[in-house]
Parts: sequence; structure tokens; C-alpha cells
Amino acid sequence: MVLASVEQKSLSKAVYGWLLAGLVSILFAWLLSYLPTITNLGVIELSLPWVPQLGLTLSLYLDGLSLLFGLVILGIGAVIVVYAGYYFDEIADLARFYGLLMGFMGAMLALVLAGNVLTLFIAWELTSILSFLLISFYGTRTEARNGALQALIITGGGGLALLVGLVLMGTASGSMDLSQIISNSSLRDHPWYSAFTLLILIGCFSKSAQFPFHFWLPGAMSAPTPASAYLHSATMVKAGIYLLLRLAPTLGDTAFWQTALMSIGLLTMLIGAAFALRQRDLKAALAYSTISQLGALVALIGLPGEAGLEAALVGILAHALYKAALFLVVGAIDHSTGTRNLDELGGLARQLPGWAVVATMAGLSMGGLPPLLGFVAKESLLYAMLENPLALGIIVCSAAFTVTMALILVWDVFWGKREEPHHLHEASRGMLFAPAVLAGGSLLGGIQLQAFVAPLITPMIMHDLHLTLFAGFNTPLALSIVAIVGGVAIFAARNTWRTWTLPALPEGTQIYKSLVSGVEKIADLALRTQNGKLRYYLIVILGSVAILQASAGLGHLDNVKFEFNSGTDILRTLLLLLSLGATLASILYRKHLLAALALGLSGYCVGGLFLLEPAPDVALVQFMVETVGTVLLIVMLSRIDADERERAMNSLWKQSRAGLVRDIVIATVIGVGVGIFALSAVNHRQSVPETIATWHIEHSPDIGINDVVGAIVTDFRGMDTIIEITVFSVAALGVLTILAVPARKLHSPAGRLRVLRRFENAVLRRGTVLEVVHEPEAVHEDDKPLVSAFSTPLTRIMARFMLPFAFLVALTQLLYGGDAPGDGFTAGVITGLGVTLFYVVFGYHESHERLRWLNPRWLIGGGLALVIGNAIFPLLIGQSFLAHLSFDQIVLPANLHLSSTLVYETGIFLTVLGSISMVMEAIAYPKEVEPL
Amino acid sequence: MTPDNPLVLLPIFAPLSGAALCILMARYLRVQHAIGLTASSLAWVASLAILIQNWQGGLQVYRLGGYQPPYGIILAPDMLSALFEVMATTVVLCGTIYILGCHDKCVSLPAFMPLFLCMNAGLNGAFYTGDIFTLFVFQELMIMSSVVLVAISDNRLGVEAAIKYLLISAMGSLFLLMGIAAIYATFGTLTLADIARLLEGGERPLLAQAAAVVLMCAFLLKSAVFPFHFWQPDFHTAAPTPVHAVLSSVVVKVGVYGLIRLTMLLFIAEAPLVRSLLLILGVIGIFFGGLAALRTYDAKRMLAYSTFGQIGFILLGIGWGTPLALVGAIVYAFNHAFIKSSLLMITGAIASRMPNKSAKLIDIGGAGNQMRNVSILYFIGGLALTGIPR
Amino acid sequence: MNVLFAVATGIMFGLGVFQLLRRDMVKSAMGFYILFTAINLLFFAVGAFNGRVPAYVQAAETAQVSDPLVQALILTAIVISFGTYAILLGLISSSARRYRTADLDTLDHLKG
Repeated sequence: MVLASVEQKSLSKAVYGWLLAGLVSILFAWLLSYLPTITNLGVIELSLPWVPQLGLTLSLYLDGLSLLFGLVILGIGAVIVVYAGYYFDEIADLARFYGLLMGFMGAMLALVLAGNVLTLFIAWELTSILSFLLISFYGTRTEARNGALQALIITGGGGLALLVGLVLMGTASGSMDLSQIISNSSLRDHPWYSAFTLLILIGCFSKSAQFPFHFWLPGAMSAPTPASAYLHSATMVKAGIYLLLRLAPTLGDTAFWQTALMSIGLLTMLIGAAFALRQRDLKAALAYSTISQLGALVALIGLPGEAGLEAALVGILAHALYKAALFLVVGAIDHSTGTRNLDELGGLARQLPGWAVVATMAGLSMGGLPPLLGFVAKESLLYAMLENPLALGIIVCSAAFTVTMALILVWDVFWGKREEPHHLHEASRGMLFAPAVLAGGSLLGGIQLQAFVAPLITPMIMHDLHLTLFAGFNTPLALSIVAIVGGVAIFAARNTWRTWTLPALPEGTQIYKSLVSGVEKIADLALRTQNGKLRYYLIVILGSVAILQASAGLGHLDNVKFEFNSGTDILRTLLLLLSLGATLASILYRKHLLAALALGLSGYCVGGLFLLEPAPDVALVQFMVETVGTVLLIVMLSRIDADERERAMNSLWKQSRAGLVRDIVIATVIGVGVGIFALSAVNHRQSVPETIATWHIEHSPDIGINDVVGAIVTDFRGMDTIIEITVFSVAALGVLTILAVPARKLHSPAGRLRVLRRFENAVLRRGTVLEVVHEPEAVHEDDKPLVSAFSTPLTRIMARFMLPFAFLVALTQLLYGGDAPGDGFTAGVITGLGVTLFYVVFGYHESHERLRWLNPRWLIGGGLALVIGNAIFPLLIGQSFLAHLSFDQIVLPANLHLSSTLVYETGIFLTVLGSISMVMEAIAYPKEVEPL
Repeated sequence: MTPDNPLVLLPIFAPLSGAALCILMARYLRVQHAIGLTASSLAWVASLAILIQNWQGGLQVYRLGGYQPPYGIILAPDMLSALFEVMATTVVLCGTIYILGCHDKCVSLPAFMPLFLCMNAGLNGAFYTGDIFTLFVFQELMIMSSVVLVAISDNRLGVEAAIKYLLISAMGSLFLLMGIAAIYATFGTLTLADIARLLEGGERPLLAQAAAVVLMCAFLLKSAVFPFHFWQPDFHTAAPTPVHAVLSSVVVKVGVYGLIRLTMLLFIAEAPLVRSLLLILGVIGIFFGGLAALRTYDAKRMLAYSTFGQIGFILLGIGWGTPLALVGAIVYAFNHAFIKSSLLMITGAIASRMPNKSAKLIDIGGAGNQMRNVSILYFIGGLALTGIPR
Repeated sequence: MNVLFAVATGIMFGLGVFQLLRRDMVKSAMGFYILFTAINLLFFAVGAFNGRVPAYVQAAETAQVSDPLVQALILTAIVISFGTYAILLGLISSSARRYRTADLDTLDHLKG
């Protein structure tokens, strides 16, 4: 990795390759040195905790199987690294490739050495991602991107299934440790067995390109050839095989396992071998033949007991050697002729003699001819399958096809007739080294079976290896001969069958494509639910709540006690009815103004109810808020364009009958639900008030406040109030800013700039350049005197007197808040109402001139700071935050107490006054308040 | 009895005082920035310290005004809240730093920083409070500030998104209030620990189940789970980038936090019902989010949709209910918060460098060529988002 | 009497939902306000113990008072809902200016 990133132009690219290969070989040798230990001990484990809570441990598990795979990964990796040094023309490409390749190598090693299924899974996913990156190595090509995405989706989807399967298996066996899972023999009888086995199989099959997931592999051939050789034939696609082999002792040997593996494996084998013949692209042909070999391996693992194990291991080794070599040869052909289309190639042996020899050797191994390792692999495959005639038939057919394929590769490309002279671009000699080593390995492995192959495989199988190159004349050999003869025959007749058109089978790629487009359609449907209509959203939400609530039950109503005592109850009932009637009226009125007034009336009735309870504090606040709210609504209405309001008003009853019925039904259902909920809540409360409020009543005198509600608001639950007034000032700030943001762009003709300055100052920063846009309306407004229609001499006098009066009332409420209804909040609202009256009567501009001393921003900020400061102050003198401090030693006249509560209330008063002024100021700008 | 720990106040009141100061200093952008950064850093440091103290000494408390728990308000961060809080303050701190270098016009409005800090305070308070009504109040603070922040966004559709969110989230607030009313009616107390104690000990009124469902709906709405999800893509997409980062990575987690509290602390007997619902909704969310993200070609919106899926996974964890799954859910929530916010900020940075300020994929295609480092970051983030290694 | 309050809560909630679902944004905002009033009624129904006197300390020793804590909660809820209402009205006004519509159904630029 480090080396790969070094970019030193002075060195030849190939040198990097050799250096890196050297490093990899050292690793290889190091791993190889474990061989004797493993042969003796069987397994080495190493474990480091990683995220113990998640069952993630970084444990290593090295046994014969991991060792074999690790050696294949490192050995072939080293060779590929050398090859890649010659393959890439651009040093930048090479660096990127090495980076990815080393990353992949690490991930793959982690996969085979992982001692924990979760670590294994992570490595598994990493290989998928690195494979994605390598396939899309030439990201500018469309087919590279599509192939990469397809591969990622298939293997990633399989990975997801694998994850679920592994987690289920881990849960079933009680441990995520591989060693414990393997040694657990009861998994086969677990009720979830079929579920997790199926999921794991899906994961393995998708990774190892088994039918019906096989089609991603040919699509992945847009990767640079060294990557194809390494990932997509020698290592990554074998990850599935590895996991199957790893889990076979635990999960295998059941009817389900055998059927699944045998059928899928054999089917894949046949399909791969047959489809390979139809490819004209050399790499695609090799990819299909890889699929076929992988199918054979899967089928072998599906055999009962350990019958197929030996054959599978030899097969892995043999296939890795010859297929990687062939890929590298194809890469070289592509490199030097610029094409890998079979139709354009032929007679290359003269130009590339060394390559021809290598290709022949590897090709013969693939075809399964003695004395190469491929032959041994095929013999042992046939030997393992002897019991099963159907399997034998399929294998022989596939073998024949494979022989044909090998002949096509070797004969047509290298030795056959040369069709036209190729424009050759000389392949470097060093490049030949890699495939030569691999092909040599095939040969050596075949001849010196006992010396080279047996030691690698022995640790895996309990008994001695009985592999030989030539085991005498037996059935497998006969079948082998049949296959070879058949293959040659098919090859001879290639000009005949090449013209055949096969019935158009639904190709995997097409299925994938239609699947993708189907998913996209569903996705579009899902997106269409997001239709932008708020009413529809609300209906869905309310409906779901109703359904959820109905399914959960609403509580019970068995003993509803209906009390109706005194005269006040009659009054209450009347008020209740009046309130409901007013609410209904606000629904029915088409005109906004009337509806707003009705709403106000309804709120006042609720206030009246509070008053009757008697809850004077709440009633006072309710009246105040109701007043401000109604004024606010009416003022706000004047800001909305009359035409738009008219249109909106007219739309009131103009919806379809079905829509109306739907709304009524929803409203009724929700209303009934909430009603029952409320009833059962009322029903559930204790008959005597045994709430924490009794404590509050007892302890209110301690802080010198008689009004218990006030005591709770200001002291016991003081923080609620701090946050509450913060919310209030956020609202004010919000209204101001929201209304000001478009104003910044729309209005502000130059003539008004002077008057506006203060408003702008509150909204914009000093130095902001105002964009002067002349709007027709705005200009003509300037012509009129800016006076409100409410502005009569009487109202003007009233407004002028009201404000000081309001301040007086506020002061009383502040000072005596502890003993009577009203507190800082109501004081603020009352004064705010006075300010509101100013704005209503005098209009925006005049009010501004008159209320210059009232800066809402300072009030809000100062008030909040005061409240928080008052809360922090006790902390400084060693008391609790927000603690009540009484300064009774300072004697004040008129029964006044000086305490922290007073400061607190003052802060609230300032904040609320500032907020209301700010809102009014914002709303009053820039249009005058007009009668509706 | 654990002594009061004044540090607990800092994550809430540092931003809150910062907001007050920012309102006073409205004219001076730099001063506001300095205040905001200080407040966020203080909150961050304090939240980390509280996490460490929690690790060593268990539950940290602060009794406001010195009143004992059931009668006064208590701030009681346990391990769970402390963890969520660290997540929140970290993202908010990053968001604040982003604001300093952000080119959006709305960020330079005088109201922006105070509102951002208020949102921050509401968020932190919602995690720390040990009182269910205060939870409501803090949530409202958070919602209101975020609504305004979105409404003043540079995006022309900010106001529309804000209206929709405000009305929909009002439903959530109503349900929360209903639940609080029912709880108070039954148990006569508002402190979470007290409610849990009473629920554990006493007889179980049927109302508890109804209250559990109502509260669950409120929290589901807050975390934008199907079928309460409609507001989320609109609201998040229209938000200014730093706000978007905070909204979609930690503000939705308030709902998640509430759900964990609901199933682990309060309604343990009702938990199977709630959990099975969560499982179903989580699976729907995963599929819906994945599908919708697939066909959305605006990077910000795509990330917003993918949040559905992520929240779905978290819900699966909560719904599964075993401690392991819960740990998984929390770890996942963390992962999501950090990665999603960083991705969003990168997207925002890219979009603001585009000539038309658009985050449509078609417009920002090829941006990777000019901003190589950024694209690598994005890729790493994208991988982490898909959960590798999970 | 509390039963009546509870029933009224239900009715008012239903009315509020209906009003909320109008196309007219102003009406929708009114619906929002009605809903919060309904919730205040619910709290009230929960906390009203047919008090004879206001919850003041001197009085509480002699006669039944309404639950003061619930009253405090209602106070907070009223203020918060009013703040939200103000923002909502501001938003509606702003939307009327920005998108030239006060009809919820035409406010659908954000979709998909």
C-alpha cells in the first residue's frame, strides 16, 4: 500500500511490481512456515477483543483450509502484482490499482483467517466493495459502471442475506466464534436450521456466481485483466466456496444441504460450460468457464460426508493456477493486439511463441488432460461422483464442453490459421513471467503430486491422500476419455454449431434489468406518496394514530361517575356549550373576520370556565392570550392579499362531497377517540388529589408566595418558565425575521428609507446594501398619507392614555404577583396590548416615532439575560441554580417583598413585552392596518 | 443521594445565555459568531465531561432550585442521555464551525445565531431532562427555532416546508400533551423516575397502554417514521445546510431517544406491543427510504430519504429489544449522526460552490473531478453510511 | 362535571381536526388553535377537583382547591401554543406573499 502510493517517475513501473511482489512473497513464505504446525496441531487460534458488547472479537482462526486459501491468495497475488507492473501504461493507474489490490488482498486474507463470523462478514463486504471499485476501474466507461453496480448489487444483496443468516446461526449456537460454531454439532437440529442455512447459501451462491446469480461475473469483466484474473477467478469468487467448506462440517450432511448444493452446483456447471462456448469475447468465455468450475466445486461440497472434500481442494488449487494463467494470457493478447474478440484473432503462436506455450499448458490443464493438475482435479471429481449417474452425465457433458473451450482458446487463437496479419505491439518479456509461473505450477503439481499438492491438502483431511496422476484404468479414466473425445468432436464441428441460434432463454442480465426497472417503478410509487399536499399528510397521520390507538385500546370506562352539583355547574355547562357553539361558528363562517371573532369568543368562554373553577391565574392568562391572539389574527389577515383570501375563503365549501365526508369522518373518529381517552383519564385519577401538588401547596409559604400556581411557575418549576418565555421570544424573533426576509428584497423605495431605518436595523445588519426594487403597489402607497382608518381623535387619546395605564397595572402585578393573580407574563401581555393599541391606532410609522424609546430587541435580550442571570446568581453564592433568594432584611413599605422572584418576574415581563412589541412591529410593517 | 452536579446545567444554559447575548449583539456578526462558538464548545466539553463522570460514577443529577425530584424539576443524564448528548453537541459544534465559513445569505441574518443556539438548548435539554413536561417544553423550543431557521432559509420553498412541519409537528406535541395528561391523571407526578417507580410497583391501569401508544406516536412523529414521515424530506431539504446537518442527524434522534426511554424505562409491561410495532415500522422505513432514495436525484433530498432507512435500522434495534440489539441501535445512531451530518455539510459545500446553488445530482455531477479530496471524503462517508463495517 | 369536560374535550378536538383540514390556511391555523384549546380543556378536566377557592395558601388549608400544578402546566401550554400560533400566522402571511396563495392544496411545490 505504502509502496503503491509512492510516485517516483525515475524508477520503472515494473520495479514497483517486483518490490511489491517481494513483500507479498515474504508473507507467503511466512504463512507457508505455519504448514508443519498446522499439519501437526490442526488449528491455531488467536483472539483480541474488539467490540465485546457486540460479540465482535478480532480473532484469527488458522487451520488447513484457511492456510490453503491464504497461500492461494498470497501466491497468486504475488504473481499478479508482477504482471500488473508491466500491464499498466500509466503510472497513476498502476498506483491506484496497487492500492486497491493490496486492500483487496488484505480483506481476502482477513476473510479466510477470520475467527468470528462477524469479522468474516465485514471482510466479505469489504471484498465486494473493492471488487466494485476494481470493476469500475475505468469509471468513464458506461459498461464498466453498469457491470460494477450489477456485481455490487448482487453480491451486496447476497451479503445482506448472509449477514442475517450468520447472525441467526450465531444466535442459535450461542456464539459468534467460528471455532465454537464449527464444534457445535446440534445446529442441524435447530428449528431455524433451514432458515439460516438457506440465507447463508444465498450469500455464498451470489458471491461464487452460482445460478441464478451467475450473470454478474461476465459483467464484471470490464475490470483490468489482472484484477479479473485475481478476483474473479482465483480468489474472491472462491470466498463462497470457502465459507461452504468451512461450514460443511456443521451444517452439511442433511438432505436439504445436499440437494441444494448438488442441484445448483451441477446446473451451474452445465450452464457455465455451455454458455462459454457461445462467447466471442475471450474474457467472457473464461468467465463462464469459471462459473462452470465453481459449480463443480459447489456440487462436490454437497456430497455426503467428506467424499468430495479432497476433490474440491484439488479443484480449487488447479483452477486457481490455470484460470489465472489463462486470464493473464488473454490480458497480454489484448495488450498487444488491441482486441480479445475470437473472430479477429488467430495464429498468434508465431508472434508470441512464449505465450503460446504457456497458454497451451494452462489450456490443457483446463481441458483436463494429463499430466497436468487439471487432469487430477477432474479425475478426482469423477471419482467422487461415481455413485451418482445423473451427476456423472452432467459432468462428462460439461467436461466435454470445457475441452472444446480449451481447444478454441489454444488452437484457434495461437496455432490455428492466421486470418490477417496482426498489428502487434510487443508484449514485454517480463510480463510472461507471471503466467509462466502459474502454468508451470499446473504442470509441476500434476507431475509431482505427492511433493507439492499433497502437503497442502493433507491438513484438511483426516486420512492420507490417495491422489495419483494415474490410478490405473478405471471408470473415471474411461469417462475422462469419453469427455476428451467428445470435446474434440465438438471442437471439430465448431463451424456448424456456431451458426445455430439457441432459443432465447431469459438471460440473467435481462432478469436483473427488469428487476431493477421494477424496483424503480415501485420507488416512483413510493415517491408519489410524497405528493406535497399537507391535508393528505395530516389525514394519513391522524388516521394512523386512530388505528394504532384503536388496536391498543383506549382505557376503560366501567365506572363513569357523573356529578352535577350546584348552580355553578349549570353556569359551567352553559359556558361549555357556548364555547363549543362559538367554535362551530368559527368553522362555519366563510368570512375570516367573523370566524376569528367567533374563535375569540370560544376562547373567552374557556377562560370563563377557568375562572369559575376557580383558577384565576389561568383565566387571566387565557383572557390575555385570547385577546392578543385575536388581534394578531385580524392584523395578520390584513397583510394577506384580499384576492388570495377571497379565493381561499371561497374554496371553503367547494370541495367534493366525498372529501367533505372524509374530513367529517376523520374528525368524528379522532374526536370520539380523544373523548374516550379524556374520559378514561378523568376516570383514572385518584378521587382525592394525591398528587405532588399537595407538597407544593404546603411549601409555598416557605418562599413567601401565597399564590400556589405562581409559586410553581416561578419557583418549583421555574425552568419550564424560562424555556417557555424563550419559546415566546423565539416566536417573536421568528415572526419578525420571517416577515422581513422577503421585505428585504421587495420593498423599500428610497423615500421611506429614513422612516424604515429602525426597522431595518432590527432585521438587517449595519452596512447591508438595500436592494431598491420599485413595486407598483409600494409606490402608490407612498402617495397616501400613512394614517390608519382606526385613527380618530378619540382612539388616539385612548391609546396615548392606555399605555401608561398598562404600565401601572403591570407594575402592580409584578410587585404583588405572589399574592394575587397575575405575574410577569400577564404584566408583559397587558403592556404589550397597550403597545398593540398604539400600532392599531397610529399605524406603523407614527407609532415608531412615538415609541422610539421602546426597543424590542433590547427588551427581549435584556429580559432573557436577566432571567438567566437571576438563575445563575444563587450558584455564585453557593446555593442551587434557580434557587429562591429572599432579601427580607431589606424592609420595604407597603407589604412588598424583595426576592429573586421579583427579579425573575421582571425579566419575564421585559421579555414578553419585547416579544409582543416585536411581533406587532413586524406585522404592522409596511402596510397600514385597515378595517376588514 | 447523589450530590448536584452543576456541570449538567452547562449544555442547556450555555447556549441559552448565548442566545440572549446574541440578541443583544444583533448588529455584530463576528461577535455573534464568537458567542455561538464559545457556547457550543462549552456545551460540548461539558457533555463529554458528563459522559466520563457517568462512566465513573453513574447517574448525574441536578435538582433545579434545590427542590427534591418529584416536586421540582430535575436534570438527570444517565449513560443513555449522556451518550446522545455527546452526539448532539458534537454535531452542533461542527455545525457552528460550518456556520462560520458558510456563504448562505440567511446565515448572516442577526436572528440566525440566537435561533440556532435556542435549537441547540432545546435539543440538549430534551436529552437531559428527567421530567416529562419539561421534555415537552424543550421539544417545543427546538421545534420552533428550527421552524424559523428553515423558514428564513435561502431556499425559496423554506416557508412552505416550515408551514408543513409546524402543523404536522403540532400533532406530535398534542399527542405528547395527551400522554402527559393521562400520566398525571393516573400517577399524579411528572418525574420520569417517579413514573417508572409507580408503574413498576402499583397496579397497571389500562390507561397506561393508551398513554404508551400516544407517546409512541409523538416520538415516532419526531423521528419521522412511516407513516408519520411526510414532513421530513421537505423540511430537511429546505433547511440551510448547517441546520439541515443538525436536524437530520440529531434532532430526529430525540424521537429515537424517547422511544428507547419509553420501552426501557416507562412502559416495560407495554413494551412488547410497542416493540412489535417498531419492528414493523422499522422494516417499512428501511424499504421506503431505500426505494425513495433510489429515485431521487437531488443529493440533499436523497440523503433525507436515506435517513428513513437509517432510522428504520435503529428502530429494528430498539424493537428487537435485547441489550445487544439496543447497543447496536445506539451505536448505529451514533454512526448515522456523525456520518450523515458530515455528508450533508460536504453536499452543502459542493452545492454552494455550484453556480446555481443547486444540489441536484445532474448539476453537481463531475464535481468530484474538481474537488478530489472532497469526493474521497464523500465516498468514505457513503461507505460508512451503508454500514461497513458495521 | 369533569365528565362533561372530558366529553367537551373530545368534541372540541373533533371540531379542531375538521377545521385543521380546511384548504384555507387561515382556517387551518384556527383549527390548530382550537386543538390546543381542547388539550387545555383536557388538562383542566384532569386537574379540576371542583375547587371552592383559588389555590392560595391561606385558603387551601380550609377548603378544596383545584390542582395548582395542572394550572401551572396549562399556563405553560397556553403560552407555548400561542407562540407557535404567532409563528404559524407569520408563516402564512409570508407564504401568501411569497407563493401568492392562501390555499393549502396549492402549496405543493415540495414533493417527490
